[in-house]
Parts: sequence; C-alpha cells; structure tokens
Amino acid sequence: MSTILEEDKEILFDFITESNEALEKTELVLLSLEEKISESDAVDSAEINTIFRTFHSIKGSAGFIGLVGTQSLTHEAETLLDLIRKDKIQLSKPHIDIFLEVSDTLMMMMNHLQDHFSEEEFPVDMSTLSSQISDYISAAESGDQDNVAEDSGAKSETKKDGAKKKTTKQPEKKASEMSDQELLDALITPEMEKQFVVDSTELLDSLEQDLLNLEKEPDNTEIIENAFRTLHSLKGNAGFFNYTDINQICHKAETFLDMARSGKVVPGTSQISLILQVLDFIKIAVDNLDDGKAPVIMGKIGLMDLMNEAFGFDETEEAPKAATPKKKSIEKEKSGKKETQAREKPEPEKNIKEAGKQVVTKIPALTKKTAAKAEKEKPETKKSVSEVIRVDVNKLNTLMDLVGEIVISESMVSHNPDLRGMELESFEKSISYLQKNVRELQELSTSMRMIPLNGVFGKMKRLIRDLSSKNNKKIELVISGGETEVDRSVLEHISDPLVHILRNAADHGIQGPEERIKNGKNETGRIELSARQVGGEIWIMIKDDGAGLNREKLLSKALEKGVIQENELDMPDEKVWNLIFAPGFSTAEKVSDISGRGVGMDVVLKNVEKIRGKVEVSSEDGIGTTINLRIPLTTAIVDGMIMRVEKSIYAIPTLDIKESLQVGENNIVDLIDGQEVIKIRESLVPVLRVHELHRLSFEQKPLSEGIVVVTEKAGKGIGFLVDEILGQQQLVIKALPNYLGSVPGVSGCAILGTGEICLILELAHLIKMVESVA
Amino acid sequence: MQTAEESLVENFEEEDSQEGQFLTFNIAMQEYGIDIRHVTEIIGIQKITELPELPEFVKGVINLRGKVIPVVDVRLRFGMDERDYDERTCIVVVNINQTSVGLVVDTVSEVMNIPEESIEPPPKVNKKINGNRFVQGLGKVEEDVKILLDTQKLLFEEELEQIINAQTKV
Repeated sequence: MSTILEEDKEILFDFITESNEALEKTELVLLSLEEKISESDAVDSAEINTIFRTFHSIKGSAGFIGLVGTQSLTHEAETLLDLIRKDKIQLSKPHIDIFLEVSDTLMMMMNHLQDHFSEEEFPVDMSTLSSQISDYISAAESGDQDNVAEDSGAKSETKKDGAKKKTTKQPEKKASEMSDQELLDALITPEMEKQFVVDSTELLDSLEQDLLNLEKEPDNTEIIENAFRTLHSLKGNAGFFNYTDINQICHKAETFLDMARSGKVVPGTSQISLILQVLDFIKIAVDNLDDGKAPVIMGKIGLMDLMNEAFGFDETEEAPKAATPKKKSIEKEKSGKKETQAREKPEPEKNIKEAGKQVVTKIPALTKKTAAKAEKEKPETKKSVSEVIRVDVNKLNTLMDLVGEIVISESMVSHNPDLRGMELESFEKSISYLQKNVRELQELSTSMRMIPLNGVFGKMKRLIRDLSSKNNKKIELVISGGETEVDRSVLEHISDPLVHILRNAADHGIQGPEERIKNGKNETGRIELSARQVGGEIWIMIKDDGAGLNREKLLSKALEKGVIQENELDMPDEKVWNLIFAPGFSTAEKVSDISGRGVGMDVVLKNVEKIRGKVEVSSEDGIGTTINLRIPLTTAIVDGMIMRVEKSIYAIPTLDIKESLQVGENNIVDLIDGQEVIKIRESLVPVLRVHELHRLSFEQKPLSEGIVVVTEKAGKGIGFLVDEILGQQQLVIKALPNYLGSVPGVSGCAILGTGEICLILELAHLIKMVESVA
Repeated sequence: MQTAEESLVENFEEEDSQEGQFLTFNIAMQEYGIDIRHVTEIIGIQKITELPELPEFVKGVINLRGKVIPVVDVRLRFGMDERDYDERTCIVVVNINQTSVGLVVDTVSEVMNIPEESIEPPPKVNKKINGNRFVQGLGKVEEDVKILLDTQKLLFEEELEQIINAQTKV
C-alpha cells in the first residue's frame, strides 16, 4: 500500500499542496487559540472546527492514498479535537503544543512525501506522538465521564422541565425526533449525504440569485415564487434527513416568502438581506456536513428570533407560540456551556413588540458577525473553486519569461535598424498599439506573481512564540501591513533575512523581564513587524524596544576584529550600525555575547542585495533598534541607464544615478595609487573604469574625454567613466547563466532591442571593490 | 550551410535512436566528435559579450533568441592557441544537466554513426595534459580516427585545470 504508482503521483502532489496550505493556516489558528487561552478569552469554536477540518481532510486523503501513519496520527488528533469541540475537554496549552507538533510532523511528512512518495524512511516516529495524544484522550474520557453524564442528565432534565411547564407538542416532538434520529442514522448512507450536500449547495446558490434579484424588484411575484419553491425543496430535503436546524430555519424563511407570495407583505431590503444571512448560515451547516460533521447552525435561536422580528411574526401566528418556551428551555440547556453562542443572540425575552424598531440596528450587528464568519469559511466552500485556480509556479515563471521575450521582441521590431529613416505613419500607429498591449500584458503578468506578505509574517509569529518561551522572555509581536504584496521571488529572498532579524531582536535585542523592569520598561517586549509600499519600493520594518546597539562595544569589537582602523573610530552612527553586517563580525558577536546583535546579519544583507534591496539600521542605546528593508517591487524589471564603454554595453539602475557630467582637467585628482578622483562641487568622488576593473582590454584615455556617470548607493558616491550614454529604458533582468558562477560587480544582464546583451552593474559590490583597492 | 546543418541535426533528432550518433567538428585539423544527444543546435559565430573574472576558456555570453548562454572556446579549453573567428567558425549549442552552453569550434563537419564496436577506450597516457582528459574514446571510421569527447567533462571538469594552473603559477 505504501508504494505509490506513477499515475498516483499527481494525486499525491495535490494532496501535498493542499495539506501544506491547510497546515499553514492551522498553525496560525492554533497560535491565535493559544493567545486566547492565555488571555482566558472564550475559545472560538469556529477556530477549533477549522483545525478539525484540516486534520480530518488530511486523514481522509491519507487513507485514500494509503498513508497509514499519517492517517492514524490525524485520526488521533481529530479524536482529541472532537472531544474539545464537544466541550468534554477544556482546551489548554499542552493541547496546543501537541497540535502544533502534529502539524509540524505533518508538514515534515509532506516534504518527505514530495521526495520519497511514501511514508517509508520517514525519520520521525509518529507513533509516539499518536500515543501521546491518545493518552490525553483516554485521560479525558475517564476523567470527564462525570461531566458527560452530567451533560446528558442536564439535557433530559430540561426536557422534562419543558414538558412539565407547558404541555405543548414541541418538546415531545423533539423527543420523538431523537429516536427517529437513531432510526434514520441507519438509513442514511454517506452517498445520500453527499447528494444532499450537492443538491443543497445548488439550491442555495440559485436561491441567493433569486433573492438578489428580488432585492431589485421586490414585487416581482415570479421571483418570489421561484425562491419559495427552492426554499421549500431545501426544507423538504433537510426534513427528510432530519437536520432539524436547517429545517427549522428554512421553515421560518419559507413562511415569510409564503406571505410575500400571497401579497400580504412586500419584502423589504432588510428582510431580504436577513434571509441572505440566513442562507450563509445554512451554507456553513451544509459545509460542515460535507466535512463529516453535524449540520448544526450556530446561533440558530438568535437567527429565529431575528427572523420573527424582521418578518413581523407575532406570537399569535404560526409556530412561535410554541417555539418561545422551547427556546427558553434550550437556552437554559446551552447557556451553561456555550457562552459564545449565547452572546451571539439577542435576548429572546426582550419584548418583541418593540422589536420592529430594533430590527434595523440588530441586523447590522449580525451582519458583521456573519461577514466575519463568512470570510473565515469562504476558502472552504466549494464555490471558491471557480474563482481561484492553482497554477504551477513553473508555468507562471515560464509565462513571465515569455512576456519578457515579448517585451524584447517588441523593441526589436520597433527599433529595428532596417526601419531607420523611413516614414511609416501607419506602421508607427500599429507599433504604439502593440507597445500599449505589451505593457499591459507585462503589468498583468507581474501582478500575477504578487503574493501578500501575510504568509511570511504569519510564520514569524510562530518563531517569536517559540523563541520567547525558550528564552523565558515575554515578547509581543505586532504585525501590520501583511496585505502588502510583493513579487514571489522577493518573498523567497526575504523570508530568511526576516527570520535572522527577528531572531536577533528576540535573542539579543529584547532583554529578560527582570532587566526590562529594571530599565523602566514594560515587562513584555514588543517587536513591530510592518510592511508598506513607498513609491516603487516595499519597506519592511522590524522595530524592537530592546537594548539597542551599543556604539562603543560595536566599535571596539570591530577594531579588535580588524574590520575598521583606529582612525575610523569617529565614524557616524549610521556607519557604526552597518558594522553588524560585516561577515565574520557576526560570529564574534555571538561568542562574546555582547548584548548587540549580529548572528547571520551578513546573510540578511546578501539576501536583500540579491533582490536589489537595501537594509537600513537605526538604533538608540537602551531604547531599541529599527531595521528597515527597502525592497524593489519587482525583481524582474528595472529602469536602467544604458551606456557604452568601448564596445561593451552596461546598464546602471536609473534610481542609483545622481548625475552625469563631463569633467574638466582641473577637477581631476590622481591619487598616488592610481585611483582617480574627481571633484564635483565640494565632494570628492572616486572614478571607476569598468573595463579596467573587469580586466578587459581597453584603451587608456584621459577622464576628460569621456562622460562620468555619478552614482550613489548607501550614501557612497562612485563615478563611472563611459564613452557614451545610449539612453534609458526598461530592462528585463536575466540572471547570468549559472555555469559562469558569480560574476563580481555584475548583478545580471538584459537583452536590448538590438539583440545585444548589456551587463547590469551591481553598485554595492563595485563600491566594495574600490574600497578594497583604496 | 548552417541551415543545412541545422536540418541535418533536426532530422537526426527526430529519430528514436540517437545511440551511436556523433556530431563531428574540426579543431586545428583534427576531427572531434560529441554525442548528438547533447547537441541542441548549431549557429554561426555571433557577437560575444565579454565578462570579467571568468576562466580563460569561457569567452562570455551570447544572446540565443532571448536566452543568455555562456560560450566556451574549445581551443582554449584544450589549451591551444586562440584563432581568429571567421565565417566557418561555428557555435555548437549543447545542453547537459539543464545547462545550455555554446562551444566555439573551427568548423562543423557532419553527423555520423559510429558503432560501439569501433570505439576504443582512450589511451592511458598523461591524462593531465591538455585536452586528453576530456576524451571518452577513439572512434575508428574507415581510415580516420575521430576523437570522441565527453561533453560532461568538457563543460564541467575544472578541478584538474585549477591544479595545473596552480602548479604553473608556482
């Protein structure tokens, strides 16, 4: 069973991607649950359901594919969750820990599966984890036996209670339903349930459309008829399966539509939107059913009340007469254990006569809740399938490449040398039309690769949680701007730097609680992680209120390590902070345990520079450190200045260019070591001859005969001697072939309209080269 | 001429079995052959963009229909003298390990079938010298001997080169 056929691989890969997605989400939910537990907030059952669903669906698929270990692990986790869900176990921190471990193990399993296609050789022993969970389960089952008994006792009591109080049919009916249920359970097969889900989803969809149309033409009886029929069949189906919640709710709405049908009332907007809300709840119930859970509607009673009020049913009409006491009894039964639900519903006892006025205010309140809920549930619904499709990244990359090719070929056509000097009016028109379309295509394809930072940021939550509990520190991570979108390739490159920076902030930046209190700070450290778009850049800022960087310590360390010289000790703060990026410096920091930071900071710089970004550090001793990553929106295209040096063509990102000028003889200074420096106004700028640096053949000629392009990067100026500036254009960056290894001073290349290759200069590296020469 | 060669290669590519097929080319009057399965196309010499700090035999990069690929001068790889490129100079584009590389050769000759039984292992003499370490075998075709090259080694083997360089520098 564990070996997987070739044709099953696709299924397996689908399973892996889906599971990974779900697991990532689960992790976040678990973390938020943990927060709630620690703040003793009420636990949202929807969140537990989300986790349950994840494990459940993984279990199902794993069973199908034949992953026995995964299946049994998820089964255990699911069982435990189910107990929690049914309030038989109080969710606590050890539970969260174990669920996190399960989710980690599953993620590792997914990675393992990707390479091995089977569970075999999976290094982690899943059975220990399973047995750990089952320990919890058995402990709960024996310990909570009383609880369970109590629970059912309470139920029967209320039933009796209700029966005694009022000898209405309703409670009795409920009792009979109970026994019916058992009978029906035997009758209803999973296939039938599935059919019900499919049918209901269809019915709900068409009902929704009808209602939306009805909103526009409230007196169109045809639409009302339609809606009524649909609702009626939905109710009928639910009734057959004995899904009481759906059935009752549908009944209520149906009654209203019936009144509308017979012209007794004209449905108003608020009433229609209430029915729409109701549909959302039914949808959730149907989805629950699809996931193998009971199709209960949360806050059903509140909904019924709302409908009573909104539809103007009073006690004398319809079922409500009997329903009220029943409500009360159920309320009693539930209020004890499910506070969350109770809060959701409006007070049923509030005089319904007044309700008419209140409806308007109550509906928005409900809307908010349902909206929030609907948002959470949405990714789960089958409907979303048609709106979002999964695309293989490779395909997307190929598309990007192709679009890049099109941009190039467009410029090859429009700048074709054969056309030079020709008057081609209509051709020009066609070309400009083509250019417009190509640009749009380029923008669209770029936007397709944009991914919000939420995912990466979410992972940081976990990181900080683990770090803070490991180091016995209290750290709060505040995230904002997670919806900011960046190119996929950017995302890949900033994930590691973020981990390094945050780890540093939590490890070295934020001090322990005692020390913080001693320094007059809040016991809980605070790290802010924010993202926003500034011009053509994304700024990702990591701000902590920890110890900050210590200028003296950094300088003495740097001196000791030989990173700086004695005479550099008066360098500005900005430069001092940048010392943390010096390679090798970091390890020294770690060993000597200075309260600064530095582990892996050179990795941060390298990664960020790889995507042509910048890192800015600012810090105040004792107050905190802020690190700002400035990253270009996309790595695929850059606006570049094209220049010719001898026969070669180079490009420099336009953003980095300050000016270009011809230099007079008297402004040129030759340093003794041969480094040429020019004087521009009051500053001295070293000039590079790219060919010389690249050890290519070149003709020595005086600076004054060429043009010097002055660039600036990270506060450092550098000039390039070029023969000619060819112009400015959008360049589609291509990486140099891997075969060549890394080429110093060149970040990539681009193909020009003429088919020539131009090399894109990497200023940061060139500046370093100059500095090392000097 | 090129088009003829291209179609020649294409024809052979369409065939199921390319086993034993070799593309032969000339360098300094000697015929060499490489496994046809690695060859993707043959193009005329074109403008090569030079790059800094590369091994001497890597001439730079070319634009192959929008793809930037590195170019290796086989003469320099063999440690021979460079020769000015002319209209008969060709770039043989090979693809191995998902890497496309252009090989500059003096001229391209033909695609020929050399059955396994007429291929002899390379003589075990002085592997360190020049091109010998890239030799996969010697193919006997009638009176001629074609030196069959190991494309993998031709492109990727560099340790030896570095050792030799280091030795000569000392």
